[in-house]
Amino acid sequence: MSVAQLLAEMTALLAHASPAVLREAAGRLRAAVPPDNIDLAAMAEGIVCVLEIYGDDTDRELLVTQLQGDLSSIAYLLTQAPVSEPTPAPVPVVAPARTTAAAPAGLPAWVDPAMLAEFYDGQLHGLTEVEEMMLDAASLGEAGRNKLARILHTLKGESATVGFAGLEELYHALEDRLLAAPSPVEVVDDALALKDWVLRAVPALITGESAPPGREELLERLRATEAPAPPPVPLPIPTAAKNVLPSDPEAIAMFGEFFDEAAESLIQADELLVSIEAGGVEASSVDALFRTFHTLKGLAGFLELGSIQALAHAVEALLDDARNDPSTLSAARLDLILRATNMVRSALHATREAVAAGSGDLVVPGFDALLQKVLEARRRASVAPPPVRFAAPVAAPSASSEEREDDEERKPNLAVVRETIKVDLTRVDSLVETIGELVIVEAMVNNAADLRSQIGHRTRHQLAQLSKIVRDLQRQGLALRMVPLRGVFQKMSRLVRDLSRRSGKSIQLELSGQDAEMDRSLAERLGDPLVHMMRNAADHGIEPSDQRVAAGKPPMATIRLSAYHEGGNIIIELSDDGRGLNRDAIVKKAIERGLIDPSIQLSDPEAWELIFAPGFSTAAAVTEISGRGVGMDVVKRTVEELRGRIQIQSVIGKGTTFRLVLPLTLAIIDGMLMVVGGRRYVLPTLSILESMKPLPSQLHRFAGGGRIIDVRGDQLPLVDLGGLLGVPSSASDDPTAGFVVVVDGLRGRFGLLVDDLIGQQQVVIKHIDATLNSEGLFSGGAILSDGQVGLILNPTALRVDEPRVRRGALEAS
Amino acid sequence: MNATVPSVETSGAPGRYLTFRLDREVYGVPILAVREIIELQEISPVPRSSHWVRGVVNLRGRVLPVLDPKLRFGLSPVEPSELTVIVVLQADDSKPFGVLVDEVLEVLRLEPSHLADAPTMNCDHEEFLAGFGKVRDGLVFLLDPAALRVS
Repeated sequence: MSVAQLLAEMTALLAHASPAVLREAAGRLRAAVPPDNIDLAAMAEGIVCVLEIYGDDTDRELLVTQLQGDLSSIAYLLTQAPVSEPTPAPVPVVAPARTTAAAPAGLPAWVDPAMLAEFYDGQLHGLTEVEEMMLDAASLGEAGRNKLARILHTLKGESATVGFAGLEELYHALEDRLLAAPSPVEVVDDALALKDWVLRAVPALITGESAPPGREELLERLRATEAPAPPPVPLPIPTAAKNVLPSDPEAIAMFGEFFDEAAESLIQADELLVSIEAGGVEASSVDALFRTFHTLKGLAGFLELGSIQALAHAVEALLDDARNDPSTLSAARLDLILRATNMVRSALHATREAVAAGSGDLVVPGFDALLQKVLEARRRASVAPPPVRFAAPVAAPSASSEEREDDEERKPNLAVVRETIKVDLTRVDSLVETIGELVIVEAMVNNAADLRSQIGHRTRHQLAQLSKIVRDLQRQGLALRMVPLRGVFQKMSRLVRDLSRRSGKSIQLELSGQDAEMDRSLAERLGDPLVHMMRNAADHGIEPSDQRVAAGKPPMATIRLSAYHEGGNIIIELSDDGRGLNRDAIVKKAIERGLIDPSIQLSDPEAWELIFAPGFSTAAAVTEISGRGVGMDVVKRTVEELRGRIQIQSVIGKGTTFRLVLPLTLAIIDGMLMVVGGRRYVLPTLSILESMKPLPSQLHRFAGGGRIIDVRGDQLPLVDLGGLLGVPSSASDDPTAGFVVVVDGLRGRFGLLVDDLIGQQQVVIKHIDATLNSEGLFSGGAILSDGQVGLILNPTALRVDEPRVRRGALEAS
Repeated sequence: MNATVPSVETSGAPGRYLTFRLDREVYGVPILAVREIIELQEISPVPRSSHWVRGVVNLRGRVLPVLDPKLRFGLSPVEPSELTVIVVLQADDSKPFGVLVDEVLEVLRLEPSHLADAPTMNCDHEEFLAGFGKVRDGLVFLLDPAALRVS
């Protein structure tokens, strides 16, 4: 048997066979691999080892995951250097495998080995999922059936992309069967037969061998069973470009998902188009764009949106030309494609409304005209570049693979698909925790006075080296928990789409900094506050378009969501170009609600601060979107809980910007080490504005009690930390002997009086027992460099009274 | 560090107990609730916490609260001496905590015959008491570790 066949066999066995059977199969696989292909031999050996290590009682899932990875790698290696039968005389190695990499005969020219490996991986995973679902077919229900159909559809699309028409046909037939069958149970046998065949066929196809027999029979079987059972929902492939409004609830239910997916595809397409426009035609961008439109086409076709399908198909054709000859992607064509994405977007919008209303016109003005133009653009040019999709595999691949390497060098900032593994979060946490302990012990060893006095230069150098490695390790450990904000941001684009429709305002969302990373647990909790703020912006911030036009603004409103790093923090900014916060309305409302004293003049930041009061809302109308104006207090609280803060900038008539300043991670903070009563405490640097040695002229005391500090003309309350904690403090008696730290707290700025400042230090936050912290004064503990525990002060709890907002009034609301 | 403690046998039931001295009396806690015994080290006080919380110590990178049972019982605090140690307890799956004791004595096996019914004393702090052990003419007050920790 060939390596490809053995690989297929092993893959098929993976899900169910016992480890003993797998071990035997792995042994044969290893024997079949020619020893001169070192990579391949090593992989095969690896599989054998894995199976030897894992006993019969090993966690099955773990084993399967591991082996799937290995098998994919072997499939990839096979495509790199096609392996023939093991022969006594080894095939001479002509050149390193990488340079001889050639797309197997019969495949489209753009398919490269990496793509095939990805394809194999995708098929394997998809089919495993199909099998799992089929084994439990009786309990699938409609949702399950739809999910299954989508998986099959994806598998079909993937097959088509790499040019395996034979597979595509099979999937298509099964998909039809599934949707037509009264119950998914009826297709179980066929689906499993299909899966077995595909898993045998794919490795062969990838290596350029002929597919194993049985395909025709299978196809016949799938189609034959299709005929006698008259499908309740006929699936006519739209011959003309027309849209059919779906009538059955099942299809309507799928629309929501379709819109989401399509919207994402369009965003991707726009991003890619803009990058092409700015940076020239890159093969990889064109490929990505092609795939995007292909997905879109598939989605539209699946839902019988003929016109969108047709347009996507026409664009796909333009892009196909560009893949063969980048010069065909002229500015004019690029412009057409850009217009097409906009057109698809409008068409989707119209369709969505029609679906929601249950009826309606799907025709979007100018659609057919654009479609004609796109088709014509191709027709006119078709004389010049002949479609060379199936170019001879001899000449094209070497050129294209070189090109691709060049591309990577030229454009390093292009998003690269990174390989990932799934790891249990608790394992990561326990690793990070252990690293944290290492960091502490390392600091203790490095700071041990008796050690430092005795060691020589050499050991000192080694200690420094150890220190550096430990820091690196800590950084990498924390990076394990970091995720890009992309996921959170993508959800927002969907939300804005919805909000735009529901509020009847046209709003565009601009995203930037989606690759900025932050701790996973932080990113997860960020979603809700962002949703609140986004809703507020769409509902209150942005004016109806007639008002916008009257104010001389473009009718289309813009919300910008951006993220960037600043210092050790991540900043997330949400700004709209709406009407801005209405200071007078806010103050009036606050007075009405008894939140503030009418006689007091508030600064702008103080006025903006009022919108964070619970239940505060200035909106005249309660709307479907923003509810009753609750939310901003929740936003504020969540941000504070994440040890961050929130700032508002607003200009009336121009818009509002919310700025969230957040730490990158919850595990480590930058802290200011301070001393009160001979003990050290840590205050997060994030909430410190400045620190100073107070002069007698700055200090005031009301009736010998309440303290005030004058900071450049601002009178701030001065909190005596020693008094607050109930510990003796020299600064309590004589503030000029101590230091004042100006803190930006939940309820405004205040001065914090301490005995001494030691300096800034990164500390790992350790949880402290709730019984220790009944007043919430501390947010945790930190192990200091001498091994002692320093308590971390919670800045929001340091000051319980409020300057102008009466506490009782707040709680009553 | 993350190993979960097997469910602790109910205090007051037959089994093995770690005994320690507070002033002149002997107290015991189920051995399964004892994680380790560490030597006395400098304790960082936690301002504004309950009066019977002595503070926190660094237990291999963890912040471990340390309680003073004598303060809990309304007595004068444990005075540090050469014999003073911190017994680290972990009741069920809750977080570990340290208890300051004057002296650790021994590990005692209490058979059913050693266990006596508790006479009603009508006194304060009875909520900490899980039972009595009678051995070699001595009396051991068996404490409920979980109750010690609750504020």
